[in-house]
Amino acid sequence: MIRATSILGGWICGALVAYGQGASGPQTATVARAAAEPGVLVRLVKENEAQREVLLVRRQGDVIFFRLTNSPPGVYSQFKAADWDEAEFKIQIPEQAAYLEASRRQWASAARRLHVAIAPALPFLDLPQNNVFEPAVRTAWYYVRAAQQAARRGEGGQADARTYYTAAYEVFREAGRAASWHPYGQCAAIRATLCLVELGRLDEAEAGLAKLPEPEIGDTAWGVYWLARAQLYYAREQPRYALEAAILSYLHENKDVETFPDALMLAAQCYEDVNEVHRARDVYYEVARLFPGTDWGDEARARLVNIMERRMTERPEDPNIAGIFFGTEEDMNEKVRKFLKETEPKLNSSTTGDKQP
Amino acid sequence: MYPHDLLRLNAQTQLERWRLQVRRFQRYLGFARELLRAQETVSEIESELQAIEKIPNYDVELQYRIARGYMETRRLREASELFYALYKDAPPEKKEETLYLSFLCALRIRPADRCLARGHEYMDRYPGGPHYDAVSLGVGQIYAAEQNWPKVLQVLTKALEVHPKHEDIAEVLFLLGYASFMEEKFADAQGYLGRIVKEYPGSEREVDALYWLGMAYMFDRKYEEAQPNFDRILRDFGTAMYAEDALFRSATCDYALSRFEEAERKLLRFLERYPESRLRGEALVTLGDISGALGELEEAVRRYKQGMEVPDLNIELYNHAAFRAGEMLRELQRYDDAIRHFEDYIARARPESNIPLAIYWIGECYWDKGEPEVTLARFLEAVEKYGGDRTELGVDLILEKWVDRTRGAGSHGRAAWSRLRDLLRRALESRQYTLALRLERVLMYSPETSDTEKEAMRKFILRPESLKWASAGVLEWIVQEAAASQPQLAREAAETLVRDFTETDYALSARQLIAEQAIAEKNWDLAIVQYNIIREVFATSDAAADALLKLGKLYQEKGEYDLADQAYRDFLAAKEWKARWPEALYERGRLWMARGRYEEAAAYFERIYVLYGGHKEWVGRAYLARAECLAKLGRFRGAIETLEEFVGRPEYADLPEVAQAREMQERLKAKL
Repeated sequence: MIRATSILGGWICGALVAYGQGASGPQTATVARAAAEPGVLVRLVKENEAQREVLLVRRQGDVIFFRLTNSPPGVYSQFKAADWDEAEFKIQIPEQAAYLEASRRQWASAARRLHVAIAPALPFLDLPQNNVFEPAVRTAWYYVRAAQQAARRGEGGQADARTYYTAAYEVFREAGRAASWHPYGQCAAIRATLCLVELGRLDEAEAGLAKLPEPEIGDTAWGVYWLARAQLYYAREQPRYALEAAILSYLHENKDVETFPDALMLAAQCYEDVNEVHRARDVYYEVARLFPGTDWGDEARARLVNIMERRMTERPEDPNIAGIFFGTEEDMNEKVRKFLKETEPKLNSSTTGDKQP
Repeated sequence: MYPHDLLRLNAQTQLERWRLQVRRFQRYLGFARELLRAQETVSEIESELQAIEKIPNYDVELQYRIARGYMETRRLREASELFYALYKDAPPEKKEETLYLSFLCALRIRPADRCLARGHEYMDRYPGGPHYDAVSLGVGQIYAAEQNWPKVLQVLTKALEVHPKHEDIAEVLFLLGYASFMEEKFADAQGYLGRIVKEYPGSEREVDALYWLGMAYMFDRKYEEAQPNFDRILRDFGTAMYAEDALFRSATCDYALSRFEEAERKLLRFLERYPESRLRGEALVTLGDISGALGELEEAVRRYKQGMEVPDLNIELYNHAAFRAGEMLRELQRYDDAIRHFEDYIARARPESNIPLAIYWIGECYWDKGEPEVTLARFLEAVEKYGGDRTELGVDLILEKWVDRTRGAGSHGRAAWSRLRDLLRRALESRQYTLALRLERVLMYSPETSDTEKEAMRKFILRPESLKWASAGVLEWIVQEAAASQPQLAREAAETLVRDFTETDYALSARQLIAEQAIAEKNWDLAIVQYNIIREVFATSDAAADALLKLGKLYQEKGEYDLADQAYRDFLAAKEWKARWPEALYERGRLWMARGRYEEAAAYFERIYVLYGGHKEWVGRAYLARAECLAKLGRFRGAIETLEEFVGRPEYADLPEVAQAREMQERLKAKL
């Protein structure tokens, strides 16, 4: 619901607030300041009503402070994001260059390039239908990829990985403001908590998740929410709970590639941890089959090789209740052995470079 | 393959995005081509949405197949979760099956809380449903695996109520029987297990039922009823895993029924047939008991000692064997052997060995050998070493014997008292209150302790602060000493005894005191609790007999006549108390009188003087009471005849009731 005063009143009748001072401060003093003030130009649209181009300067809670482009610097009005239907930030986003870098797995460079461009708009991503939310999410993802890439370098990459996860966390957190209007907004907020888990800031991650509403089956955020829960449990060394949460993640979501393989891999790891190695084998097999040529696929295949070489699943299982109920049964060990043979890496093949996770 | 709902949702999301694009292009000039393209896309998505709407929703079927796929590949967590989600959304005809399948998958998942939740939901939602039997049994089995016996009873009793012809009736009855046994509801256990044997012969549970039925009777002390079940296993199921145990239990029944030769024969066969049995030690100790009962002390000692050598022999049996063997050696006057035996016992010092008690017996052997100074030295050694531990009951036993042993030891006795006094001083200095309390209690009986000192010691012990330090012996003394003068302290001491020394004989007198005080305060419930514990814990003792009679009276006082009658019946069922049956019959008669049932009461009184004429102390009362009953029924002539019979019998002439009978006769004649 748009407040009547927010359209015109926001411009004309709204309280004038001194930049950097309390509302009760002398207005004349504020006019003299703010020669080189920070801000981001945005076009705000109200369906079938007004359009305005304004400079957003800061926010305090829900309230966004702005000035008209032709107003003297230092004099601001305010509105709330929900007062508008659309927003278009007037910033140049180097999408093409970033995409090129990303396609070369130069994740950190791509992330930084985007980040510099979108940074002024980040505090205002709750403006509906804005054009920066999606690049912001892309930026955060590039940081995550950069962190994963750095982590794979081993000890030497750990510091970089932390830096990138921290940056990813900050961008995701800001992108989380879009939860009010974009279906991925809540996912971004949850992704922020996942970054916290990676950073070992578990209590903060827990608190962050607790503030978010628990999604229902069918919600976009379902998969990532339960993945975050699973990662938290796992980080707290509770593999049984982590397993349950990971299963919830991939069972009811729409097989989003941003969560589905991670949830499966975590479930497989948990199955190993709770000593249900037959099931770990089955899940690794699923991942290796579904995601060949990716880091997930390669890691799953490596775990399968380990399990099979150590003959960890040779011990026969109890009779399958499904076999009893439906009259079916299959030899998974045999299937896995066949799969491993079929996908055996050729000796002269090169595996250099990072693969897209 | 994507679910129908998801396809529709995705299409709707895309539609909204493209509509927004259209609006954006409409807002600015110069985007005519883009606007046209966006409008075309909107139109295409709208058509797609219409097409999707026309396809019947296949999501339930799709999810069902996915869940089934998980189930078939043993991904039971996933399958259970998905079936359950389906149950929530499925059309009515699929609900029951999906909930059942969710439960079935969860059966193999640990921990079992999810499975139990699904199982209970099924049983609540579909009582008598197509899979009700399987679910109720599964839930019962999980509770059994968790040893949650009350829940087993709750679930499966209900299962039999819902479906008396349960598809796995023998299994359900077995679980009910076993759970009842574990809950010590032996009569119920006998009922359930007996049904398997009688109604379902040949079932897979028959042999299990036989064994546990035997055990249920045995724990109920019904050895006559127990034994045939063990013997049947030996006869018909000789290769069953229970055969070994059944042979041992059968022998135990013989022993309990005092058929010692038969018990011995079976136990020797048992040892020969199962030399590696985990019951070997217990069998040898029982053989020792048998030899002891038959008066063959040398053989008993040999068997006890053999039993003690069996590794891992239960500590209670080990202690029993050790002390019985030592006592017998002493009885055989083989004092040196007895001393050596107890010294070996002390040297082995298994956890929970009763070292002070062993020292006590060593001391007694030296006494018997005529070496009182060694006796007192060993006693002192035990007191000094173990007297600070209030749980060492052997120290209390030594101190109970102390006065007597010092008295007969001449100068050694006086020296021993002196050393005890030194020990007390050191105990007080080092604040070893448990030891100090023990020593003060015994020093009050020292010939060298003045009256003033005695009074000071008495006051020192009779304080509430003493209770937490006091040993069982001291607490018992406080209970007795304070009963009249400081009833509150006596009560607290009794409660401490019961709490801290529950399993010992000391707790008995404490419970009796608590019960007596409760009766004085008309707190029938508390008294009933205490007497019930006495009768259960001290099952065949005289104290248990007294407790049962008290219980009868207390229940009668509360108007709970059936429970009162049950108490008397329990009394009359115990052969050990045969000598006191007339008393129980008399009380039972009184109970029926109180209920106004004079006919039945008269029969009980008559039974006393007909069957137990030798118990003269009850015969007189029985005649009078029967006459009173008949008079109440208006049968004055019968009453007078009863009294005449009593008065006319010369063997009762000296009973005080004769005079009362004569008076009563006169009164009744006047009414004729």
